[in-house]
Amino acid sequence: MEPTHTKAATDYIDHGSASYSFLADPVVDALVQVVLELGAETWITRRRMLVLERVMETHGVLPDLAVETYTPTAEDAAAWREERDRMMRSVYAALARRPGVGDAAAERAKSPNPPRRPPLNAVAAGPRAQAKGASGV
Amino acid sequence: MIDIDRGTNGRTARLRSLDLESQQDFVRGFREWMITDMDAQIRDHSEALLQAHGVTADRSGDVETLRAVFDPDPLIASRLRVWITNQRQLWAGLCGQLSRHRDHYLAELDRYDAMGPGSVELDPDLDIPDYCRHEIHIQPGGYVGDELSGPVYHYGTNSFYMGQNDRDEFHTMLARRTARPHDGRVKTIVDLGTGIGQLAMTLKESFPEADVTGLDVAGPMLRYAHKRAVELGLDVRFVQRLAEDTRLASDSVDIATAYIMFHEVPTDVAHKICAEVFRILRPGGVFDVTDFATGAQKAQAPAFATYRSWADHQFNGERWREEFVNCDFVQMLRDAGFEAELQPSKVAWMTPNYVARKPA
Repeated sequence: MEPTHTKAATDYIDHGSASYSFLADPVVDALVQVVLELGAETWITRRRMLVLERVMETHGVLPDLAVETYTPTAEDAAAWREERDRMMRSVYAALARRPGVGDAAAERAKSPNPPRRPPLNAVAAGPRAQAKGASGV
Repeated sequence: MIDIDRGTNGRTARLRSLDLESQQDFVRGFREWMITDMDAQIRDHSEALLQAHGVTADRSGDVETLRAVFDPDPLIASRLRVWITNQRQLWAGLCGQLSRHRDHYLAELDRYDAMGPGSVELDPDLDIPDYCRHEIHIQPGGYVGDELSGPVYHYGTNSFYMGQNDRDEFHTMLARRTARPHDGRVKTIVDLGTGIGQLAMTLKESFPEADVTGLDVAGPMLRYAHKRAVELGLDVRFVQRLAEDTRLASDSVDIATAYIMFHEVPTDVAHKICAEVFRILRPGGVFDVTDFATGAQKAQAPAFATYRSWADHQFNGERWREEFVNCDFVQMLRDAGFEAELQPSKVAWMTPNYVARKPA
């Protein structure tokens, strides 16, 4: 019997989405696309490594196609989703940054008394810590 | 890229490559970040922009006013850029893999064409209107122009449904909440614009004694729908026809459904579809529609949502969306003879539900 699959599809109207440019500088527009593609490539590699690590731990050796056919457990899938989401936030946070909001440099420029922030990673002050601070040690 | 059988999740075959699965996982993860973290900033930013430009609430529903403010803004432009790139990545990954191994995927469709239960009935002589030939959601080839549009759409929409797609979870919810005739008689169901048949299949599971037909203009989508139905052992008839010309007998259907179909057709066709459904429903039958808000309900949308709706039309291949959301769909149903009302969404984050009943 002659295959039917050649008869199901028909002509379509090309939307032309490949030619869109949204940002004022076309180079910057292209760079944003590059960044997303690099992100995908990075995640593909990382995820394969996650699988490799788990398979090697489980099996000790690497059977043929073991990585390719590995089925994540529900726990693995959940943990890897968290890792993926961490990466999204880490890599793409700059895209959501609102100009002028939380801009410490702009605040310093505007005010003779720029705002003070508490120290990072500070431990709770106690007598020993205070004594050390006083002596410069 | 390798292409092998990697098993199923119990209902849908896993993608046949680990790298493709990971690429799609990235696409979905980025989209989730974009519509949560990024959009939280964008919403506040857009409101601040409108205030700075003196745009009052009465003008914030006007697309031209919003475009004058939002189009030049670099942050909003970035949002559009990453959204469309994410969309293109989604399709490029799937289309690339399936095209490289097209012999396998096409042979599978061929094999299932003649199998049961159920059937798929293509019409090679169907005059497919131009309005159906657009690349909806910028899916390459659209629904009618790619022999593999079915699996591409199915796996691609995993990103949209965020974990409620590849076991048909979302469509199962829709099917269970479908409006029923007041007399409770359900022997014949038609799902218009059925696409890959997820709602048709879950309707069959919800109403196992009913004859269920899934109708669509896109042959490639229907072939895939039939394949899935056979794999799941579901007796569903899939037919390639126009929703405005179903060729079904008058007064023969108890429930007709249309899930996110109406915003994909021009409003003059939408009127014809409403008239056609009124004809084929029996007195007391019900037409259950899920689609975007229109008319007065649409006017309540926040400004950035209104702008995004326009952007969806302009950049994402939603060719008829703006036309639809600017009509009054409840009135359109009433003009066709239905007793129609708008009801809350069946699913919290989804579009509203229109229930139209043919007078008994």
